[in-house]
Amino acid sequence: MLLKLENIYKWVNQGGNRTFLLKHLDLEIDEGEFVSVMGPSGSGKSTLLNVIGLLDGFDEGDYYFQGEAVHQMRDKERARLQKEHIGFIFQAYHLIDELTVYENIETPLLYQKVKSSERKALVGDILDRFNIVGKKDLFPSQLSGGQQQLVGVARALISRPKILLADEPTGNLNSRQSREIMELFKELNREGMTIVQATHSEFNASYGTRILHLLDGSWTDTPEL
Amino acid sequence: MLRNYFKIAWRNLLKHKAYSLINIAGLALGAAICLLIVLFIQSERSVDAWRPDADNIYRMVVKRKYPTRESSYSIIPQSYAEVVTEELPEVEMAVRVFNFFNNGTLRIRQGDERFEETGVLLADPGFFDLFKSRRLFGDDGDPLEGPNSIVLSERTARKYFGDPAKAVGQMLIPEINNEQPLQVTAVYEDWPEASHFTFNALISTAGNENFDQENFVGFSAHTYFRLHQGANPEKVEAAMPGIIRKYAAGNIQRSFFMPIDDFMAAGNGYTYYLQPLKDIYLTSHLENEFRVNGSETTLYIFGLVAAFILFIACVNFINLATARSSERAKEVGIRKTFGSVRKALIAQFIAESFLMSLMAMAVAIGFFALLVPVFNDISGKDFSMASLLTPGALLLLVLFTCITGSLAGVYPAFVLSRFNPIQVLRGKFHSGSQGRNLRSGLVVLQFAISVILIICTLIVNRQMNYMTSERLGFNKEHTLILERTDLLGTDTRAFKNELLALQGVQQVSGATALPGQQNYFGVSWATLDKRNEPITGRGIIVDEYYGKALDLELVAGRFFSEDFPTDSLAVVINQKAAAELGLDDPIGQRLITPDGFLNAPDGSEHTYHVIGVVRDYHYQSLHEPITPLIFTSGARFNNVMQLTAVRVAGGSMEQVLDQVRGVWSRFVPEKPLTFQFLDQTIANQYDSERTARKVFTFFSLVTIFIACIGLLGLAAYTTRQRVHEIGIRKVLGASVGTIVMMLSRNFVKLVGIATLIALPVAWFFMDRWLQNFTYRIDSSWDLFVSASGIALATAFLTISFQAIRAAMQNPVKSLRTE
Ligand SMILES: Nc1ncnc2c1ncn2[C@@H]1O[C@H](COP(=O)(O)OP(=O)(O)O)[C@@H](O)[C@H]1O
Ligand SMILES: [Mg+2]
Repeated sequence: MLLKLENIYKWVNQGGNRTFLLKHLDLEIDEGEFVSVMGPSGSGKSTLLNVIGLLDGFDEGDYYFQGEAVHQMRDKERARLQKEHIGFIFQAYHLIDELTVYENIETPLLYQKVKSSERKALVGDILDRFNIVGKKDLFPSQLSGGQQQLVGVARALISRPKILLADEPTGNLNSRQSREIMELFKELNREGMTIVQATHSEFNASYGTRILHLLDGSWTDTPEL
Repeated sequence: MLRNYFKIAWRNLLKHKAYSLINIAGLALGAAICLLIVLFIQSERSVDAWRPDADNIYRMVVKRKYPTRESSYSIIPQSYAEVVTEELPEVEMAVRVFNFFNNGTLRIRQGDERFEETGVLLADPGFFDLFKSRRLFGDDGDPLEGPNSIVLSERTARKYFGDPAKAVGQMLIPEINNEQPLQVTAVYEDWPEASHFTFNALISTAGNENFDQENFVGFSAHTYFRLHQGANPEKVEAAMPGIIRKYAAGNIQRSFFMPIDDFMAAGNGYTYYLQPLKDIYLTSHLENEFRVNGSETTLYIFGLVAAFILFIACVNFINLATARSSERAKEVGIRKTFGSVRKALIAQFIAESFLMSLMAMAVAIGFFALLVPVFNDISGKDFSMASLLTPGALLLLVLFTCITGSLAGVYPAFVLSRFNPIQVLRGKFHSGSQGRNLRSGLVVLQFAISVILIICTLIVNRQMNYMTSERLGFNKEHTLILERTDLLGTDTRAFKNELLALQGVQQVSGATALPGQQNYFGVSWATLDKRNEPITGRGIIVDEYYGKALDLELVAGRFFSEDFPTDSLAVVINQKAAAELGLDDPIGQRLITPDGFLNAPDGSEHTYHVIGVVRDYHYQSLHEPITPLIFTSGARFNNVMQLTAVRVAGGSMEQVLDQVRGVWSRFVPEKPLTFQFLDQTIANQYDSERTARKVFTFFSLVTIFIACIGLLGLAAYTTRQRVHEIGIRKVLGASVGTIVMMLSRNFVKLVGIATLIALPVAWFFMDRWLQNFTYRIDSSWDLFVSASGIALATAFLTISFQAIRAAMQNPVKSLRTE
């Protein structure tokens, strides 16, 4: 088992009222799974992914990552865990506009203090694999949306994470581009990568090995009609 | 990693060219001006301090108390040098320097050539022992030891003899006294400019009995003492009252006809004190200084302005950086998501700021080159690009880079690195509000400073205009002052008649002094019934036409006239003199004076009678209150006078001057005519104020410029941030005008607050500055209104330029980018 959430609550206090973003939430994910989280806008998908990805905290409940109790960790350990084991992909790509494709992919390695020669090899490999060697010196603004997201995936993979978290990765893409990214996910998953994606789309969700439905911060068996 | 940071910084710089330009240009301009100012301060502070023994050398000066006033002189009676050295064990040696010859100007003949030499001083033997200097040619030993010896500077020696090496042993004939030839005994390297006095030639006092005569009351000698190492100068000062009593008592009795105790009891006194050599240039502003010394106040003002300007430039830097933080927020969010810790981000932003300040320094050197000539003109210094190559200046550059780099980088670094990545990446992040209070505060501060400087500029300007256009009580226009007309001797009357016959000449008058000059002599006068209560004032000797030439207004009686032979023992006085003498009806009153030269050659007392009273006029600068002025007639001396005023009809000055030259060359063929213009002479009294005017104008232009650069950047930024909002408002029907108002309102409000803060501060400082003038303008409210107006208008123009552009944009375009 890769990770396990137990009875997770997350809330915000708004105008005296407590609004629950996540409510009584359990989740277990094994290595090699490809989980699709579905739900309408505002149901808490991003919040959940942020919690799993250690970008955000929660108010109650336990979280174990590879058996380690995340809820008892200090910030520093959590940061290390995130840096080494978690890869993010965003709907809006979130590439650094001032860096080239090559440099964007390289950035996580810089923060992990990987040696220069090794960085070169790693980035080179992944550029090759994704067929974007020719674009390595371009800036994000010079790429199409699909290509940008490809770079986003490459960047997420460069540090060889245990799990890939993708928050509506195809939300800004047309259907052809979407399909390409999904095929890529499927292939990555076949190679053993654990993936959690949040999506609106039934079609995209169907790539997953397991589909979960979220509504108002809780699991629901009956997907929204 | 660092390379990565610099890469991003560099690309950011190129991507936002306008911002970068504004930022770098502002900082560079500020730094360039600071550099100039720091160099200026350094150079002013180093005057005389570089001299060997500077710590042990002092100049003795005197505060002379008169019954009704005090004056301080940089020169003291010539006999003190000797007796103080003899009496006090602290003193190692003394040297006197005399600045005779009309500010050091002397005509010198060398063979057939005649030179008008400036900077000729007289000095005692020992001068070069006290003021060590490098001898280029001449024998060992004291070059001033022998009588009639003269020492030349290298420059001067070259002028006379071509090759300085050939100068030693040659003869020069000075056109004074009996034209006793002088022998050149040595050539020294040119006296450094960084000194409170300078000379081209130095004539020895040795063998000239004038300088050995006992005199303990007449001020004449700049007197320098070298004390023994470690000696306490206060001991010397403390011993002076005893020395005065011992040596000056007899002299006082002879000159003032009373015992020293009565003299003191009448309110007279001498306080002698020592000025450290190093302090003379910046702190001494006494009468008879060699030249106008520097001013510590100016240094403080310059220093303050330098700090202001650098501060404002840094403020711009910080402002723009924090304002742009929202654009960087995304980057921060991504970096944090991919494992960057806060420390690394802080390092990144500081590195960026350093890169920026490094570039700014490079640009600053360019600005420096551009500004040097302007600054030299204002400050009278002689800086060049080479001034930057001294270790001090280089260190300064490095320091500037580090200080501005870290100062300007630290705040944005800490703010930006604090961003929460989820919030930022969710897009719910309104970083426009980040540091908004700080930004507003800084805008207020820099405009407050600008407004203060604008007010200072306006007030200095107005005071200057007042001083040069104020009803001075006489006519200063179209008047020539011919110098050295005493050379005419018995031809004086004929000369004046020829001038009067010239087309365009209206009045001609000889006198010993004209307004705006230092040539008035000090005199004491008393009425017969109060002969022991004399008043002190200024004296002037004039011919019969002085009143007419200057348009002086008579309030009673008449001016001197050739029709009254008794006028040779008459006086004309000003109203102030009448008041101080206690004369309600001055005409016909009898006056006496203890001053020897106004009495008979055998010493018997003349009695003068008052024939006229002139309305008070500003015969000295407006710094000085009008003091009693007593005119006596020059008829006794056949009206042979040093100066002759020629009043010319408006517009004909050029021709008249040519003709006057012609007449002069017939009367005095061997000397060229020298002259001044009266209005120019009067303006020269306000040299330091003129400099202040230039300085303030320059500085306030620079500060408002830098402040506007900053405002421009900030306005451009905020406007762009609100493009979306502007688009929506336009779709909803807002007009361009209302949008411009909306965008400008906040900035204009800030500048308004700034002026409110600036007004009292500026008022406080300028009120104190105006205290320097006895006759001054009021610091009236309209000045403050115009200064505020200037600041507000500039700010509004700066902002609206941006605002109008934004408001004119097609809303569909701005909304599509969402
Ligand atoms: N920090 C927060 N404060 C207040 N409300 C929040 C916060 N974070 C998320 N929400 C709210 O929680 C709900 C779930 O948000 P989100 O996880 O982004 O949903 P999804 O990704 O499924 O569209 C939304 O209604 C959102 O407005
Ligand atoms: Mg979402």
